[in-house]
Amino acid sequence: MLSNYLKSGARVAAACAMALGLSTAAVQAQDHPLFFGWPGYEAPELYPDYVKKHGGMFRFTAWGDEEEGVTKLQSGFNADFLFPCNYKIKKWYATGRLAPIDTSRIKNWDKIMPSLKKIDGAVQDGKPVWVPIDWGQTSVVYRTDLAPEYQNKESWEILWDRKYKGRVAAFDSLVDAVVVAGLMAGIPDMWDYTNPADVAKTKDKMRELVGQVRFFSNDPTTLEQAIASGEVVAATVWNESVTRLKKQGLPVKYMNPKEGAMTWVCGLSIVKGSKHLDKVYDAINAMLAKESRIWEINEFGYGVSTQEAFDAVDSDLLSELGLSKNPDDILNAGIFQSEIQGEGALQEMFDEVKAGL
Amino acid sequence: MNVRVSRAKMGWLGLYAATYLTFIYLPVLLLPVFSFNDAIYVAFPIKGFTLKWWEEMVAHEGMLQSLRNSLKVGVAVSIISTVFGVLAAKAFTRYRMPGSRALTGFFSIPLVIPLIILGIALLTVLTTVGVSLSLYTIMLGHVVICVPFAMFIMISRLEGFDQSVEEAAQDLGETPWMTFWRVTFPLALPGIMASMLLTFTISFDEFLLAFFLAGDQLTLPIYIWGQLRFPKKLPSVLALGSAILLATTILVTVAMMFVRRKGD
Amino acid sequence: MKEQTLHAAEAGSPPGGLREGVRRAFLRHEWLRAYTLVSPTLILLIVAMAAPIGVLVGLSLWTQSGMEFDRTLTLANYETFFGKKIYPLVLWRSIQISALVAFATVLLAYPLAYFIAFHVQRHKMVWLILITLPFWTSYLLRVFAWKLILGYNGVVNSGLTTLGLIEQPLEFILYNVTAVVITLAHAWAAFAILPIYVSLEKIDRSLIDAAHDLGEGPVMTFLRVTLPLSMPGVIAATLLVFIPTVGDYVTPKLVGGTTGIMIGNLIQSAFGRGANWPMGAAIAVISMLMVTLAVCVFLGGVKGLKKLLA
Repeated sequence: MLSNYLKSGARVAAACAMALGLSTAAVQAQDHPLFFGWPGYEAPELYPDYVKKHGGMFRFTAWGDEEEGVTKLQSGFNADFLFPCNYKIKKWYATGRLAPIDTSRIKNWDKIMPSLKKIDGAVQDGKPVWVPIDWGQTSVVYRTDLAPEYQNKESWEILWDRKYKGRVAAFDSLVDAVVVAGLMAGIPDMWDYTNPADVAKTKDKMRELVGQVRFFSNDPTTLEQAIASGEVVAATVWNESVTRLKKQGLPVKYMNPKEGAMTWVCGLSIVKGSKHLDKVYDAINAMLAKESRIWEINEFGYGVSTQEAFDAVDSDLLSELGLSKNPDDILNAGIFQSEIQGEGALQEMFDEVKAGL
Repeated sequence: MNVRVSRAKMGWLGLYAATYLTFIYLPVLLLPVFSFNDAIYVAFPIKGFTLKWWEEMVAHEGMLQSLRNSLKVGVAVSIISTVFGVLAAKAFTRYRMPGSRALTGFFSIPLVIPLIILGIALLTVLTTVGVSLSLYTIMLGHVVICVPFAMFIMISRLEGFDQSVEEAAQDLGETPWMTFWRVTFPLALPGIMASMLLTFTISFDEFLLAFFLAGDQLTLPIYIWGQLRFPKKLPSVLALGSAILLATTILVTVAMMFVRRKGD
Repeated sequence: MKEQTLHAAEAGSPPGGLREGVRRAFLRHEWLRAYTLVSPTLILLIVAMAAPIGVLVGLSLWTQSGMEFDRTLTLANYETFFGKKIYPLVLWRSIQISALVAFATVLLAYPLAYFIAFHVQRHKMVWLILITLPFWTSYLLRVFAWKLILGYNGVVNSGLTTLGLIEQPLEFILYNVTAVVITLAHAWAAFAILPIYVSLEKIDRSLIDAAHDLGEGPVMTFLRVTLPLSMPGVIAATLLVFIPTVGDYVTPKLVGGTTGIMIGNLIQSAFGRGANWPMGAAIAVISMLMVTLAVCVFLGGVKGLKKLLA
């Protein structure tokens, strides 16, 4: 009997040894830098040159939302490079952990559209800290079969339309949702909440929105699932969601609201003291390569930062995606997302209205 | 008369039990259904049959890596917490010790502490001390919540058995270590197995704590949490969930058959 | 090299030295042996649970200023907690939701545990395994599956529409408190069934037979014998479900919609995007105290009830 037990003990031990032996795979992964960014950007198709050169991908961790990402980096998270968006670069920089970028090591630096390189915050203390990669919009996607009347009067108003009470959804985010309430409440500057009266006005509008929406969520999946199942007729999304929904054959349209869609630009920053600096530059170069940029236009439906990629894509496709070859067209047409002033008060207000106050 | 009442009661209760099983199985069984559905959006009506999500799952390096991480953490946690649990249980059942009530009370706190509080408390300490987050920090958190489970299982197992066996072995000149190894251990083995199984399960599916304590190496639940954000990945995550369910069902069935045959 | 020699010297010290002394103390004092055995667990829980919670309490007395901690000790965060409506309100709501979840889970679990303990004769183990199996799939996926069942075009709504019972899908079953309660009651089912089952299983059957022989009807037998004797299991199950669910932040986020947020969401937000760790720590500390208070009230209530019935 005892020998039986010993045998099974030995088997358990062997299983453990095997499991621990698997750690060698993890050790190899440590040789690659860690990319900390928006979910979805771990697709190897975005970095073909990196995969070719190093025979594998770097490590990737997604943040829940960008503000959470800033906090995590602040508290010592060991990432090597990041994916900040224009309206948050200053906040990232204030953590003291962004390294200046050596543009001479970036092959396609000169191919990046000049207007993107000049975006507020991209250059800090005279040195660039951010490489523009892609740009897109935040707007409303709606089901043309369920809310056909909006086809002639596209507007953010659909989120507040009583007819669709409980049938709309929005981002769980200040920059992608709450500021829209500010815009619709008619405060003087939708990016400035330092005046309590503006916060109060926005709060009234947000309270209405809380009564309207089925849920707030930052997950493209949750938002898309709800649109796809007909649970909601309209939701705030980024371009990539619309591209995917259309590919699944759903009758949806991305709004160009009369008040303007919001636009943003995102890019790469390097964390100070990275132990994998060479590979980080390899990754940046891989992402700026033509092949990668074209893939992103096709798959995500985003605009990209290099002109050569645009020139290589069929112009019919571009117009179908609602993209223009000239980024200035879009950057100037919509509402350019900026740094929010008085963010703390706005977040507090958002939490309160969500709690029903 | 009495018998009939009992039969009727049995009928109602049996019906209730069946309903209850439906309640706990319904959501779980939907996962495999949609892992074969030919659409990225998980919604009714069902579109068509496909195996591509299962193929994607098998080829998905990140997912498999996190599965390996979870297995590693789970195995380590189950061994460590069971060893700790066995030692503590032995102390409580074998010796009279002052303050044992206070100690059992203290040891059961992890059973009932809201995990988010334990998670942020550990995170605060680890970042203050300068320990970087990794699989080891997750293991630490999991061992804390698993030790009481292991200990209580072992107490209930060890409570029953006769100490004179151990004493006899020692009288026969066995060293305490050999006594433990040759007498106590075999008697405690079913408990040890139960404890390892339970603690492994807890660790394998734990999200709330791991979310705060994970570095760049993710365990499966955290990985799934991330994947739930990517619409295209969702169906292959469902495939993975179904695969795990299938694997455990097979494993448990085989184990049961094995145990039963031994019992006969 | 030097250390090794030292060790060797110590090991080689003559009988009657330190080692022998320790050995004798061990043989003489049971409690010393006992404490040696519990010491790994004790140290672990002090280092990895008690100390961190102490640190958390300390942290809650600091304040966040910009990206740094202001280390002057102050009760400012506690004042903020009680000064703002949102925190007490959400904490109170979380305690109510968790209490409801615990009540529903235990109520639903009891008959099943009873069935397995008293009516299943041969395959008890099979039943217990049947109950635990579903909990092997990821918690997150199970929550997600509930969205499929309760959703707008979900199982429930499609079923009711097909049966012609409703024309428009019901919207009130997902993204609210009801959905949170159902999902949590499902997620914690096994934690309620097992303790109740164990306590029922332990009941001496002759007591029940004796009650029958004394002419008690089945209902009275249950109320006066079975239920009181199984109370330890019921209490354990209630606490095992109630306390952990207070701190859940995933389920409310996934199925709670706009009205289902719980205190865990506020704690997580303070540690995440809110970037105010001291405030988050204060919320956590207060929640912990309130949960403890709620548990004391519950246990006191049970005790009072017992006295009343006795």
